[in-house]
Amino acid sequence: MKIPLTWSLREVPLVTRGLYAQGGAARRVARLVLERSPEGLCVVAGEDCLILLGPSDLLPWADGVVYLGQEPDAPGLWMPTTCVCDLHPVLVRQMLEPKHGLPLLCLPAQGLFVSLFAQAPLSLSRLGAWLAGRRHE
Amino acid sequence: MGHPMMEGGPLQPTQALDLAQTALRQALDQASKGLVGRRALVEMILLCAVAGEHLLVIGPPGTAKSEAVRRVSKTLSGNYFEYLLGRFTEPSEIFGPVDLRRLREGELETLTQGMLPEAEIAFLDEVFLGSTAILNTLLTLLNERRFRRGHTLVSCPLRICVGASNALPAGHALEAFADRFLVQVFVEPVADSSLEDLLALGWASEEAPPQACARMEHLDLLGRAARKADMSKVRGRLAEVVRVLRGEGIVLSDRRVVKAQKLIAAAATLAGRAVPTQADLWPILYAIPGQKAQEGAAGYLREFLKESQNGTLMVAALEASQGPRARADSLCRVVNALLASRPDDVASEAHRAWCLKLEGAAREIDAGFAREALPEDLAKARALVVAALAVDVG
Repeated sequence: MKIPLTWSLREVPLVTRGLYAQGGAARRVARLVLERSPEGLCVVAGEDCLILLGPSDLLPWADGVVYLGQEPDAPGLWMPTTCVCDLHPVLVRQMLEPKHGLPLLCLPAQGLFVSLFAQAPLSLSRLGAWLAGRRHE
Repeated sequence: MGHPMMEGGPLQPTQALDLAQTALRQALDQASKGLVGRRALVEMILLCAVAGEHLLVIGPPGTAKSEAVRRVSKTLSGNYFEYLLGRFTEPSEIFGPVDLRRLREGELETLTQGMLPEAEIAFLDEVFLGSTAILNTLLTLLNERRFRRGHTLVSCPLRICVGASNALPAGHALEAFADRFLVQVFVEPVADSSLEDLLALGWASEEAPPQACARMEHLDLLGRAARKADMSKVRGRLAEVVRVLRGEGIVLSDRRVVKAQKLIAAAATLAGRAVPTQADLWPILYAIPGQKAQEGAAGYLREFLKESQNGTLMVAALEASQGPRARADSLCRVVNALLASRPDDVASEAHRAWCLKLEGAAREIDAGFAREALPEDLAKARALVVAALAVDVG
């Protein structure tokens, strides 16, 4: 039985603990992180996207970035800070965990579920290589 | 300098009220300048002063509790009294010594000059350590604004007494005394991320104490206006709020419920409203005794408080309601202040720090509001921030 997941705007935003950036915003974020070399961030890098996890004041800003938080009632379930699922978060986590594992990022606007299992402490050299690979695209 | 209310002839009542509101806003800004993370406390002190109620601030030592009150007093040009109570503090140290000359004549009178009975703004640190003799006399002073001791009976000009303590008292007798302070504000040491600001502002505030920009007359005018507020539009909602709280096991005494109306009326007056609305209910949160109860109540009352808005007491309204309007107001204020303080030298460390703060504001806006739900004023503020960052950061 399929249960559709619908999302609404959250009245009080989640505590910011990460960001998702794609395309130009992701490259901008990478450049800012390389300039500032913050300690305490973890990263998940995709083909054309970047996810950073860590304290809010270490997260750079770029236009188009989506800030992320963890659902307090369902630890391991991440989503944009301004979103809330219309289903109870514990049910959502129970539904998604078998297929996608935890921790899991839900991106309703992009229609994506992204596993955060592979997050690793930020390595400036690897981020630099990722950015260099994108500059040629 | 002439009294602004007397220059150019008598003012219309609305003009005088506008002047008083402006003066108090300036006083707020001045008092908060040298403090980090204490804007809400300063705003609540002013709110209580307008409402004619007293405030209890609970927090560890060294968290600027007395400094906040001192700064408010300076900006309001108020007659200020401050004392650190101890278990062995004598009543004469607070209320004044006995007049020995009159005592020889067989009459017990107190010399109150420069003491609490003559203060307009008072701060009593470790307020629960006072002896029974002190607390009993203090009760009358707080409740009735009268000092009674022997043959001395004087009316006191006290607008607000701020009591401070590391923790709320245990014990029925002291709880009853604590109940005389309608508002409770809980403070914590400054967050790690604000330590640099604390060091810089703390250093600067030694050199630049706050300037007086308002007077007791402004406070009193606003207080009188608040007492005339038409509460009929908001009483029903307030009663619903109290029922919701009772349903969740948070019981406010009848005295607190009735007096909370004074806070709501004062908040409306400071927001420029003669008729309090749902936007002014938020002070009820600060009238709930106990930090855990306040935190719990913030969740239960979210729906009631989401319309909260106050142009003068932005941070206190925001912290009470976490509602979108209050958050947007606060962010607009931060953005405007940042844009007005851009360092000229783009190569300087100050400019780099300024850019980081501007980024922080942009991050808070984007993390706090979905793009399609941005209020118009905040959308404009965001556009200015984005433009400034494009120019300055590249």
